[in-house]
Amino acid sequence: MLGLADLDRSWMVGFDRLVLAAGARDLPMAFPGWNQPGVMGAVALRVLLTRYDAFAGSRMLIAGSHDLALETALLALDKGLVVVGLIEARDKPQGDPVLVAKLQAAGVSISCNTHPVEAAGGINGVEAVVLSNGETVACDTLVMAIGQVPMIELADALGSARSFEPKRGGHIPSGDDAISAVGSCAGLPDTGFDHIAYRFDWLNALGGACGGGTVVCQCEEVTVADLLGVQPPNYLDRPPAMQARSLKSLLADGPVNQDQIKRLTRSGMGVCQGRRCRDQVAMMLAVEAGTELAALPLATHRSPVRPLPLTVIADWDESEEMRTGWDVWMGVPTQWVPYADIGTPYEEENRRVLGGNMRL
Amino acid sequence: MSGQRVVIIGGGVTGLSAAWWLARSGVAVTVLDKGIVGWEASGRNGGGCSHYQSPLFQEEQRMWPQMDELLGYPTEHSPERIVMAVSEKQLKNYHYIAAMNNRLGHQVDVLDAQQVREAVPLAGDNCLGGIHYRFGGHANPHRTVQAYAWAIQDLGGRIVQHSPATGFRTSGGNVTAVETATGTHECDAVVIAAGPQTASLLAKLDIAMPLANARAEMIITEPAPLMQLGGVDGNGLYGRQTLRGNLAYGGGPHEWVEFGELGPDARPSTPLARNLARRVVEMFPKAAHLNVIRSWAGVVEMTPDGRPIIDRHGNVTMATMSGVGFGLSPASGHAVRDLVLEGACSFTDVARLSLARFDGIEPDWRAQLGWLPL
Repeated sequence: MLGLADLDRSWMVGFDRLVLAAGARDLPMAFPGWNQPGVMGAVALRVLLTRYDAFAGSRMLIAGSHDLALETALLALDKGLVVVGLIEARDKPQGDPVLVAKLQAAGVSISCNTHPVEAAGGINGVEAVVLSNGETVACDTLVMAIGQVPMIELADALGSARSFEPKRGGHIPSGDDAISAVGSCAGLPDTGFDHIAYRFDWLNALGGACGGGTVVCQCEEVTVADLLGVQPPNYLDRPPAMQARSLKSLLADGPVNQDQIKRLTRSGMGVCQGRRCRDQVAMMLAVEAGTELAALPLATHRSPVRPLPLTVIADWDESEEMRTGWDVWMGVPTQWVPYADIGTPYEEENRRVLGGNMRL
Repeated sequence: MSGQRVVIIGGGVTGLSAAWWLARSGVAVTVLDKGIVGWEASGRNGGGCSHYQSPLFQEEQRMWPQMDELLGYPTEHSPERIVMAVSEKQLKNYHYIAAMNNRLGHQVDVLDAQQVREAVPLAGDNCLGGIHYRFGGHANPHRTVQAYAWAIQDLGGRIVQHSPATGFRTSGGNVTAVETATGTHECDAVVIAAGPQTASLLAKLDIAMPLANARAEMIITEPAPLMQLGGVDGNGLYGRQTLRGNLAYGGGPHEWVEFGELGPDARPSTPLARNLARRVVEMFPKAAHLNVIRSWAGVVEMTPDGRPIIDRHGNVTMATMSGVGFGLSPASGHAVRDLVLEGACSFTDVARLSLARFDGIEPDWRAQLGWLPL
């Protein structure tokens, strides 16, 4: 069974075969100032430019130089926008040489061994990006084009098998007779490029720019220090024993588990359902724990895999049986008889008044 | 008392609390868990702490306000609860529960519809009234289980994760060691509080415990503005508003399930989420626009009468809370500690929670109760 929804309602459909074509999403990474308008992902930019024709910026800097970044820059130029340059944390451009040459012919340069250390701005968002090479670049948009993540949440929530393929962009569904994937959600095209190694180089570069107070999970405002310190949110007390705990102390109990860290720190627990931070958090946990990303258990995907309003997800046509057969908890009347009343006339009264089945 | 070695099988909230109480008495405790502490029903539940039906109730109420300080870690415990009705049947039932509690000396105030709406801003015109428990409350299950585990370590106890118990060594009718996939743990006494796996572990000691397993599910919304009381439920739902503001609610027909010795390997949610969403909208019309952002499913074990089993045979102490373990955990751990160290519960009568009440139960009891998986 698959749940579907539009703006007004949801419904269930059965299937013999399901083909997923959910695409891939942006992989953002934290650095000081990334959590303000004007810092955006390449996939989001492309959708705004092509599908919606609704991009408000005009002057952009692009982080990354693999095909995603190169194609994004060419698209932006094609749309008449100013691309002030590309920056690359590695020592040379990473993508297709044909695309690199095309960009250079258009007068766009790629600065290597360079990454953002801060996006500076005001109430309307980004105004400039400070780079690790000391330059400050005036722009209203910083496009993060470091990577794309195949969107496997539906396949994963359905329990499909998957594998970890660095050249295909990370975790991808294996596919079976009932559920298969096509397009980017089945994995990025294998060009021999190790996307995971590339992301770690960027994480290393941008991580060096982060302070403890840099926010990693924007929905729940979890900082680098609180994530790695496994600290609770700010609305809770942090007594001395709590402050003495950290990811390092938790690692003494067993291998790192992102779902456990999520529950304790709330990173990935917000309204974006973790889509903005879960991948970089997984990488940060792998680094801190000294484990391979592939060995880190994939944080669970839970239904609904997109946020849906209560009124939309609600079943307004539920059966009479569901309506009248509803109980709070198992419907075992003896469970809720006060201990002192067991074996007294009150026990029978309780059963009689509450209907004997606890149904509400 | 110190010098004893006690192995606790099950790092759920009941086993962890038992280990914590034992460690506070100077016992050398080792908690074994098949996975990560609190990973099953202990970490995914409504977080309620208002169990007036239990002989452990007074101790539950005494302990919760102290737990953050005693454990040294935050549990998010928040006091009191309002239960609100949107149908006449609910109102009648809730009023009966209020009168029953007042008869027993637990203060529950009856609220009219306007009083509920004043206390619960998300309630709507369809609210017919409610009741206000002047006791109980709720806490965060994830945070609480980890708090127990850390507090045990701070007292010198050991938490051994990813180590399912596989068997026992016995001598003269007593357990002398617990075998796991990762090693053998010698002990002077053992506590078995392994949730749905409790029955299969006890079976290895020729102790028959009648348990059936059921799936329970909850849905979680994005945060809403904080109400003055997060402990609000009703309309046939249980749950709470978290201190972050999320609404977390469960209820409904529960599915009976069966699985192997290591428990369920996945806990997929079902379309029941849609029925839960409808009930939440009916309860909180002013929250209807909120996004549902995740759901949980977990598995709980139930005894035939729904009441806990807390009992000791030889040096084996067993505890199942029959699906209502989280809130009662500060008290159930105390009771288990008393049984292990003193042979009897010191603070309340748990005689009616003995395993012997099921002596002679017919082998097909689950079929008779209609508790078989579909």
